[in-house]
Amino acid sequence: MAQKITIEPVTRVEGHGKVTIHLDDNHQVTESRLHIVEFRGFERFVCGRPFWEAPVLVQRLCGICPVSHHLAAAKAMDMLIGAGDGNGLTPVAEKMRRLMHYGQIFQSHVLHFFHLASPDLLFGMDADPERRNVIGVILEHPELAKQAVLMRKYGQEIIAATAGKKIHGTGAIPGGINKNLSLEERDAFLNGINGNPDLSADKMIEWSESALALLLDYHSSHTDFLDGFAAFPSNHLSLVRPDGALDLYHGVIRAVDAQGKRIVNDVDSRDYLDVVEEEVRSWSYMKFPYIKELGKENGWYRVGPLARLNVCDFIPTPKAQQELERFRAYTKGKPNNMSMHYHWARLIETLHAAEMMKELLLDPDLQKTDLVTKGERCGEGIGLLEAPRGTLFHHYQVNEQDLITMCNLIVSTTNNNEPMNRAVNAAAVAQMTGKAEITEPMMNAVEVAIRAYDPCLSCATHAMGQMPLEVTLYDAAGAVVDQQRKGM
Amino acid sequence: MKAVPSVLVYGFGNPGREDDGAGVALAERIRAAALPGVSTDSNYQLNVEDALLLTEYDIIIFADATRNPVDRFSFYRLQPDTSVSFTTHAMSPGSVLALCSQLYGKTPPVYMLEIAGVSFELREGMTAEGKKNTLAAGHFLKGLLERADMAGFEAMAGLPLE
Repeated sequence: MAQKITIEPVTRVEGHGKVTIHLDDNHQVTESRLHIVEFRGFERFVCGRPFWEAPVLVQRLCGICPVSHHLAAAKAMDMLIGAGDGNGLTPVAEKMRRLMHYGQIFQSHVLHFFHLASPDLLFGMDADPERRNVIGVILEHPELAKQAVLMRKYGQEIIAATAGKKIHGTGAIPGGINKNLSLEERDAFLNGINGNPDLSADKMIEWSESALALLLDYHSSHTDFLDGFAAFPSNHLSLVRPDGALDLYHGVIRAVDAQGKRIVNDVDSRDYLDVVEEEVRSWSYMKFPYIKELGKENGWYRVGPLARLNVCDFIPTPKAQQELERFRAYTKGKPNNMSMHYHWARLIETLHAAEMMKELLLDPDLQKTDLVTKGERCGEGIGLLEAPRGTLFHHYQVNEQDLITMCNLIVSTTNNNEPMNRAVNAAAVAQMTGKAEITEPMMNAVEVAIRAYDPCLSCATHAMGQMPLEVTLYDAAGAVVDQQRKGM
Repeated sequence: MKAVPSVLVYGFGNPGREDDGAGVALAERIRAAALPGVSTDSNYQLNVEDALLLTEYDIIIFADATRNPVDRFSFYRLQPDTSVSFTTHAMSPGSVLALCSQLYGKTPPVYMLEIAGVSFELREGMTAEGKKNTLAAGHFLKGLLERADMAGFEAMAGLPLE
């Protein structure tokens, strides 16, 4: 009897999603799909609003990565008011935004590693779920947990100092920023917030290196798992600085194939529509982007930390560059196509973000007072940046009354839609083929594959309560023959 | 315990999603009241670093919207939650308290003020019902804070409120 296994929703992933795995009569996996209810209404929500509100409005899209949307919208508004396409701002404006962005990258990556990935990595997928969670990590690795809390706090304080506040930050405005960084703020971030040396720029670098060492140690003893689990070849896409450096704030669009051949060659981000197209599939609310020139079948790509390290030529901070060289050497200079190596790439970027924050804090431009650039207004704005989870596209059109008439957003998780589906299928084939019943490690294998991509959906409505895991087994006729829940 | 306890009112939720912003709106009302010894904070969601914040106050009150109201609002003493509820990038209030306890050896008195919401769509402003409920919850909390002492908090926690 053919079966369909439904895992709904996926735990430790934002938003509402479910996984369906179709088995044939011999319990062979025939197809796997990740269904995500993406919220597309946001684009309509923005239309009709004055364009200068966009950098604040878009933060409501997501409670996890509001800074990414804030900055992408602000970059689009820069173009709209004639303040350049990311290069036209004053030094203090661009560097304050960069500090905000690297603070966001830092705290987001730390959260993912500590909160979502480390329970799986430290205890293994087969471990008792009662132990395989963040409390389990705390009990067995209390120092790691305390470091993670302080690293998160440091990143959040950087965001608060640059964005102005935690909710609906106003730091980035069309054409620049609304405040610089005071010397007192700078000194606190360099030497220790509230006089606490554990909340200093150097400590963030040191602890980032420790987290990376922990992962590499785990890799040495679990090589087969990290290298083989949900691995598959793909294209990789990200922004890079025009000289090929990793740049998470601004750059040109570049993509390479699974062998490293350049397939998108440093295209101006304002021309993104020449590069990327989105496909609609009947069974999913989330679109499937692909590189136009390669078509739907071959043009899908990965974004995020793994893609970025595959695409860039170098990292412009010394410690992270050293780690990139180790990362590259492991695949003999070829692109890394191992899903679980997202964790490795993410921690290299964490180190890079820590180095960048210190570099920016030491830059006297942050105390300058020329905050805003103005130019000749046009009717269109496009802003791209590398958010923690991957490339984020914001595109707006505005009428003569300054009201937004068109908004197109391609969020990082949408860019990774096809790769996440393939990762789910790879995990399902490996874990469920030939098996007659659903087990906790099987379910978690699927989740681990998805979590590697750190998806984040429209997640800010939460209220009280938990997100349970529900597994439903259907027979060929669509009748429920088994159902299991956890986390209720 | 100091004679005048330090109190944190921490509202969380997304004000861009109608009644989901009830906790943040309530924290803003309390901030505007400028009560002595009372600090306020707000964020979209709770997270691991909030465990450290809990160590800095004598009494903490989390304010949040709820989809499953038993009344206009409810007020109760929060217990550490060490069960597997770390399901998303955000943390539950009980999980934050558990984290505080496990990491820093402190379990401060934390209270939960849940405000009934009726709609959580992506839209500016709260519903009329959500506003009414937030107003009632704010009135209740302000009164409690004005005569703040531990006995008062304990007496009100878990009792019928209307």
